[in-house]
Amino acid sequence: MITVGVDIGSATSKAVLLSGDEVAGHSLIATGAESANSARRVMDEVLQRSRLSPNDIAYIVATGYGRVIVPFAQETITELTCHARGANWLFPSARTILDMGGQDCKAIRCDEEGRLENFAMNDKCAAGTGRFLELMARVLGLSLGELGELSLEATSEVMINSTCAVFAKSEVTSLIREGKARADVLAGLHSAIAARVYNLLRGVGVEPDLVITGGIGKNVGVVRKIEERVGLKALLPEEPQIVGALGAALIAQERIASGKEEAKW
Amino acid sequence: MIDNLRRLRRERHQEARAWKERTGGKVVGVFCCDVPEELIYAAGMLPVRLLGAHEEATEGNLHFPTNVCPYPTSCLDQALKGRYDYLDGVIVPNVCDMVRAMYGAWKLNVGIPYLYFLEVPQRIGPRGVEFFAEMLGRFRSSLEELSGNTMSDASLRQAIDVYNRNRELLRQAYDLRKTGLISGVELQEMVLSSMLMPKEAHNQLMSECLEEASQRNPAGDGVRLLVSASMLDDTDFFQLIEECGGQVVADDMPTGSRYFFHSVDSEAEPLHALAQRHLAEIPCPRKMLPGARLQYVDETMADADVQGAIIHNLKACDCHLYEYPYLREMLEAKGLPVLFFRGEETEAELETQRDDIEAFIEMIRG
Amino acid sequence: MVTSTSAKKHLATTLEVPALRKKYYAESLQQAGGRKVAWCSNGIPSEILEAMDINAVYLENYATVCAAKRLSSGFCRAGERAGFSQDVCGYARILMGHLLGGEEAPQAPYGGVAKPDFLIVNSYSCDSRMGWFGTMSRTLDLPLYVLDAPYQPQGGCMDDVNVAYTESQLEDFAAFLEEQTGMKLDRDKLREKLDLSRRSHDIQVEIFEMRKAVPSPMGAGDAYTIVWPGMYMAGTKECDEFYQRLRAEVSERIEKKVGVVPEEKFRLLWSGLPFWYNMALLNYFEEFGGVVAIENAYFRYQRSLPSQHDDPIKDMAISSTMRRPYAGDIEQRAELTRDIVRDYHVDGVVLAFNPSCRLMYVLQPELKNVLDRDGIPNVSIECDMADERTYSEGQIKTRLDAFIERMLSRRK
Repeated sequence: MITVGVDIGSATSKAVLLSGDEVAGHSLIATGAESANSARRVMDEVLQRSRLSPNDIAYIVATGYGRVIVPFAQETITELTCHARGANWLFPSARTILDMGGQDCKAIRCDEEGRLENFAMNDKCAAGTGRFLELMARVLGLSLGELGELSLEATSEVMINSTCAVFAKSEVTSLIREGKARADVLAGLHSAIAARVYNLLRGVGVEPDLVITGGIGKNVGVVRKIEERVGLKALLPEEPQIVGALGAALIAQERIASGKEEAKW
Repeated sequence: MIDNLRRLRRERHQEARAWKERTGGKVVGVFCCDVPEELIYAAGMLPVRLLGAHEEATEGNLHFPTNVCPYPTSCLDQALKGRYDYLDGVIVPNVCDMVRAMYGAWKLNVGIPYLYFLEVPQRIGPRGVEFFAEMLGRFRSSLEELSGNTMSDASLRQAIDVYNRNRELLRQAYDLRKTGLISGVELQEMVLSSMLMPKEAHNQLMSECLEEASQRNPAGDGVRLLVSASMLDDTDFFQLIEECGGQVVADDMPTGSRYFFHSVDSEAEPLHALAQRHLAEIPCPRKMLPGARLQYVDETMADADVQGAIIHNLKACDCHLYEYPYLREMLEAKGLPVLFFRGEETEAELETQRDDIEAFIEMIRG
Repeated sequence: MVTSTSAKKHLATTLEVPALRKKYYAESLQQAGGRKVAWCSNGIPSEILEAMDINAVYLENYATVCAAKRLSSGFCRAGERAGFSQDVCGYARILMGHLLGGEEAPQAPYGGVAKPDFLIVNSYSCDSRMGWFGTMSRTLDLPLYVLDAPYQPQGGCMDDVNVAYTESQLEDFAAFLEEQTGMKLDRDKLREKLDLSRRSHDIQVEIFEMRKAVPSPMGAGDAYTIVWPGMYMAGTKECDEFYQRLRAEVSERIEKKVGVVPEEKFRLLWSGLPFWYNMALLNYFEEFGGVVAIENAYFRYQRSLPSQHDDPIKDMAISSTMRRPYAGDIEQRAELTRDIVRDYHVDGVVLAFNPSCRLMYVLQPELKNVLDRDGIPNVSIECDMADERTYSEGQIKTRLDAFIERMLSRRK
């Protein structure tokens, strides 16, 4: 049985093709201005990668910010439910998920079957999001991918006072001008982010195991700082950005199993 | 001159613990000027004012939204972090919605043997004062129980005298500040330390300070400012003003003139006199309507030759925010430029405030 | 951006309210010349105003009307331009915008409200309104009466001293009204009105109890509307008869097992104020088999005390002192919430965080903590009850959708 989960985020769109118990393919593209368009593009790409055709797909679930404009999906489910499901499938011991996406940050609690139990979202400001780090990367003249490793070279962490992206930008600029090492400033930024997301996590209560998903999960510096704060080692998916789409594909499977109508193209 | 007072304020927790050990007495935390400290003092206990700390309220924020007045959140935060473990009791008056919520959260989350909610009415006329006097009577009995001491009228009158003396000394300091014999930061240290230590000892220190100050030459060429604030817990903000070339010569705030401008009538029946002063005379916008309030602010500026006003309201403080347009109007009508801050009680905000204050002072210097 | 201002009404009686309300405001405007106009905060006992034939305008309700007519942005902006911070109560900003906004303010609904002769505010609910009415009194240069009652979160409420204080407040209030109107308060008339309002209050309590039924005969979508006569027309025959009709309709629905949804999959409690410019949210759950079976904002569960005195003011003093503080201290609120969850067979709680309603807003996080500890599923949505500029559809919908998904997949 083959199902697809499509996650249309504000920054990136993802698709996961699930064949039985295996991820047979996945794709990730920049969403761009046209969300409806990106749904079709990311779908086409995952079909291409797994060398399948639309007829092979039994059921499609759409999730994410742009879920309601995926015309070919049978059903929409929020990314909160999908992340819980996806993370728990990858790590059956997962009970707390921290998703740090492009524009928002979510703390999620699930039960042993990956059912959503509780959640807290920060979608009001940039703290703890990809957007924040993108801005900081620009200020420091680095690429996003370089941030994590570089921060581990810090010899002495610089305290960053502001967690607001607007203020942090000018703070970071002044620190660099003062001659502070980029690694040290980065370490401070990562600490500040960790402090903010820790507050979010405390809103739902942290129960082991903790899984970190979303693009920022690839930033080893932030992950370390969060682990320090929470006092737990985090489980990290190989592909942290597709966990939502994976969860959607899993739910699609459940729908078929419980007798839902198959996809019609 | 004020180094000792500053140290006492900064090390207030250690000082309170040391006092307990020395005297075997009980320490009672007080929230807000509405609580007549004399009653606690007369019961043989040490009243200490709960002050906010300029740090992230990581524990407090689990119980309150973050975009409301940070002062009660900060106090709860410190309690949850164990800083106030030495307190034998906490008195919370009926101030505002936020403080009432703090009372509830404190009750649920902080283990404390004695948490007293002091009913403060919204009417400040004779009926309100009468009712408040009744409430103070109950409060008195409760304090007697907590302390294990009976409180005679005589001991209460004596307490009132000690406190009135302190108010008088602070008023003298307030006047000396107008001529620059005492700086804004210095007076602020005097007021805050008064709220944290035994009053008699503070009276002694105040007398010494005033003596010393009177030997000085009038100083200060800073731009002369009125500061009207909803709550300033430490001297950081005044320090900042002075660094920017300002000189605070008049103030309207709970950790300033509101604490000492009016004395308790020592002739009248003590509970009634306390009720009258604390309910009807402390010019707090929570109780007082704009008319009387603006008159008071005017009084604080008498003979101070004020050139500009800074209004600092902690965010979402309803009491102050409703009044703000009228306060601003009154000050501007006097030809005073006004600078407004929405305070958050964070370290970071002081730096952004610096730029604004510098520009404001430059503008006044012209 | 918002979905729809009005909630779907499931009961026929509910549909009577808009006309009642419109008539109330129209009469108020028409009679402004003849009867003295009082601008009031919620909770000012309307019986005494009725007894003295005072033309009462309840400002908070007018603010919700402005919000429901999608005018809150304009009025709030006008209020903010007049100097009132975005932090203060949305209702206050709307009214100050209406008062001071001049040409920049939107057209006032119902042709506006009658201009006041005096102002009355009470301390029964929140503190914010005291500041608000204080500034209005100054702006309009009109007398203001502050009606106070003790707060006393734990016990002590009913003792003599507290009741005596409330009584003195009410006596002074009566004297104030007499001075303003030049009329003497007819205490017999007041007693009659109180008898009537006691009865309609008790009918409302009964209706609240009937809502425990499964399937839910009346949800929050109707409830927030039918609360209107009791709040603003208490003591009138119209109000009394309205609730009798409502009770009959609810009774019939229970008998015939007519629910808000044909097949109830989950029942919710709405904690906090609704969003007056998007009441349709209350019905949002219905397409998924969910119903907001109960709401706690105007929850009436205590029956009236029977009259104990000849002097109706003495009776009012007792009931005004007895009323729980509007939201109570957190322990009382938690207890009440647990009772509601149990008695109304509630599966989950929607916690509305309305930033400018300070009273509710500051209590919600701790209530959430209590619910979390008790293992009662809940979802938090933040949005002002009056200022529609704070509404973000995507954000609210995501949270509600996730919660609905949770409700539907929960273990039974």
